[in-house]
Amino acid sequence: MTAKMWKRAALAAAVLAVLAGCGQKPAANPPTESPGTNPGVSQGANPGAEQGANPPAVNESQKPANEQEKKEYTVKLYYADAQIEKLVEREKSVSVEQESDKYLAVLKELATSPDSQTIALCKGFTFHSAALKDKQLNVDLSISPEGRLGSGGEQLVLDAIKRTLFQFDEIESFDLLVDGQQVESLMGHMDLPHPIKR
Amino acid sequence: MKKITVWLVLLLSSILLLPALVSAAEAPIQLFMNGKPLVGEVPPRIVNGNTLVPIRIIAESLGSEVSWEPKERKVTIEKGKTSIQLFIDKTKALVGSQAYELETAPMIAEGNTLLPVRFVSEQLGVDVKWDEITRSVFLYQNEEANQGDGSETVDSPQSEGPVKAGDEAPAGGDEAQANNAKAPEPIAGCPAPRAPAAKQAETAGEQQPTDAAEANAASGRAAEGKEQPAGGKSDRTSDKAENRTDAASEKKKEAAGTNKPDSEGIVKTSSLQRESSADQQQEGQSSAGGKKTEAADAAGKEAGKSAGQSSGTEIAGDKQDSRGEAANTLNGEAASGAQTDKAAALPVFKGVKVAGECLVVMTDGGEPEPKVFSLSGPDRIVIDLPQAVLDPELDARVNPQGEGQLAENSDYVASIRYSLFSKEPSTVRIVIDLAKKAKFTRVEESVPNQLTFVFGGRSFPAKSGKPRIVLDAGHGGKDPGTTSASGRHEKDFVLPLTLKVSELLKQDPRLEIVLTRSDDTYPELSERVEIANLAQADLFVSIHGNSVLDNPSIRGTETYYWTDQSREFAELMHRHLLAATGFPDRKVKKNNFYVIRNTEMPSVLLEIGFLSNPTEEALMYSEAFQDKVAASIAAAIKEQLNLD
Repeated sequence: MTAKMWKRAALAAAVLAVLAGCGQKPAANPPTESPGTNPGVSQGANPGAEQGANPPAVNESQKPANEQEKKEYTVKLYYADAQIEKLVEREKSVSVEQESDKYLAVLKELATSPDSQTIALCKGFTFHSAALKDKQLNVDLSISPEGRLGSGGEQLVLDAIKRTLFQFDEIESFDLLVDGQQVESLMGHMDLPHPIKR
Repeated sequence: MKKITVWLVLLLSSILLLPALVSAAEAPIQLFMNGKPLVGEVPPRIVNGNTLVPIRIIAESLGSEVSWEPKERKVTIEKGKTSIQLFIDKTKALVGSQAYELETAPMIAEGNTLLPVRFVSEQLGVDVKWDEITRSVFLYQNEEANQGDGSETVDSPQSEGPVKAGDEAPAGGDEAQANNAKAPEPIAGCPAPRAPAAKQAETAGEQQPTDAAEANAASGRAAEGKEQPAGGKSDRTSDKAENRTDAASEKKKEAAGTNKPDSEGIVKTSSLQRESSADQQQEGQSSAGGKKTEAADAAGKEAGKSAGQSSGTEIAGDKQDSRGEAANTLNGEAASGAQTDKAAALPVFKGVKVAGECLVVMTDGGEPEPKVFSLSGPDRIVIDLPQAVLDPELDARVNPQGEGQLAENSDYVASIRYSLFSKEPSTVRIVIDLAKKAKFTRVEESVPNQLTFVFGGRSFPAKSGKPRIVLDAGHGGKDPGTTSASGRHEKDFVLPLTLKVSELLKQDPRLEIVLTRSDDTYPELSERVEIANLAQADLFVSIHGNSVLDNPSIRGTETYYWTDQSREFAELMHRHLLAATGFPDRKVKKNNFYVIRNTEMPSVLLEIGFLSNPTEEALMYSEAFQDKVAASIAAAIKEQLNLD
């Protein structure tokens, strides 16, 4: 992807955000029709390395207003490859009732692998809450004993959460609490800063 | 208004304190090594005026080898050249070939062998002190040879108690008395004297660093999550303070000039004030009842963190200060009230005395609650005495910058400086410039007008020229690590494997081996790093077992390194490891895991195999496979050191 394309996407997102605020009908981008994975956009090795400089904008689209007024977001999600060697990116649209729910919804997506080519690094995670306050997303989660990964897995899971959350420009930092506690390490290999900054 | 507050605080604290006192009378006996709590399978017990403790504590904490002969029901404890033989339910004991009569025989209770702690400890050159008020046994082990001959210390009156009562070690007692007689300046309240000087030299010379490390690791771990008696509290505080130190000193430059007048080195920056405020808050929360609660811990961390992370502006400093003050008031010190009522009644700082690894702050008119933290570059320890004033004589000796010097030094202490750090509220600051890096631990004793500290704890003897290897069994205790295909824990794989490596390497007299953990406990990642760095280890090896239950077909051995100086060691280690495991090669990789990023020597982290893969799991928990892998790790370490 080129920088130009990112800029264009960002612009589109901004326009949509304005429209969404007015509660108008969708415009520029067609709404995502079929939620689910889109293998076409999944990328190979370490996509984030290329994207690091240009944080991806989030494509927001709005379905025709129904009684629930569900909002739909196309987001990037990160998993491990089948050999748990590196991250792979998948795209998916998630729908939530209000914008503030999207972070928790996105995190929960990380707990399920979309296809056999990927490993859900957060499989043993239960995400309880994710609330944005002063540009910091405070996440409370639990990890089951079976969800604890080796050193390489822990590095990947932190990276996956970072990439997934930092695709949202409004998140400057996030804090992962395990069962409400600030712990020194998620799985005993990596240190866990409180908060993790962009 | 103030008076009402004071009254409320007093009322509250009386409510809080009373139950604590009542329960203390029934409290089990606590055991401390160099100020850190030791926890055994069963609590120590008093029999016939003598304290008996579980044998494992003797073995691990005192760094001795313990063996058992069922036929004679004999326990043999060996350390260096000292060999002690004890017999279950018999009062006869042998030290070398000399016979002793014990007041209380060793016994077996609830499946644990209990031994008389004073007799065994003193024979091994470990000091024993009983504190009736906290019902605690304090053990003091000297990690340095020929250090602290104990001649400058005497037992405080508090040391009369069950442990002492029997005076099971007549030789020890007598010689201690003799030492006291010739002591030029005895310090009451210092830890009990070291074992007889001659004996001390003998055993200390034999002492392996391993012993120290294991004892330290054990005692450090014992603190975790457990009720923390007063003795350990200040140590935890200083631990935390030390962790923050770097941030604090980095902030120093930014913050310089925003605060106090520069009195050379003693107090320069607002960040130092924030440090002490953070400490104050932690102390405030944890002081009630002498228990360290999770909440207090978290709060302390919180405070520490904000101190470290605040931007170094005056605003941040102010905020911290006010938080500290708030905590202070909550603390039940009724500070402002006391000050108003009788301003002259603040405790007076009279001076500092040092002897061996003991340091005593002398006061008059009461003991302030000290805030202790350490700084590095150069290494120094700061003791703040809030609500205290300088003795007029000391005050008269300060230089124009307000700083005075005390003519005390020891192996640990290069110099001691003091100042009236703050007038409002009145705070005395004492800075101890260290002669060598050492932990500093408060020994809570109720000797009037004294605050007692000991150096040591997690310090390591100077290197003898032998390479020193730190082996780190991953996870442990509250952290089970990964889960295997059949539901077993990683921590139960890495510990036996690490102990096997340790056993193999210990057979080589050219090496010194230090373990970060030798049982099922969890030293924090920072503690593991600290052990390796303080021990000035030559190599660091962290041992782990991988798992990804989402794909049980994944197999293989990985070796990780981070620093460039570790790469060669990682490649060499990986070659040996692969040959031993026979697992697929997942290569040598570079990754910034905490323990290999922060250790200062060549260091590697091994993922031996995947516990989530049933084939690898079965092997990894088998004795024969572990033996083979342990041998390969040991061989790699020796090859790296060009031994063999």
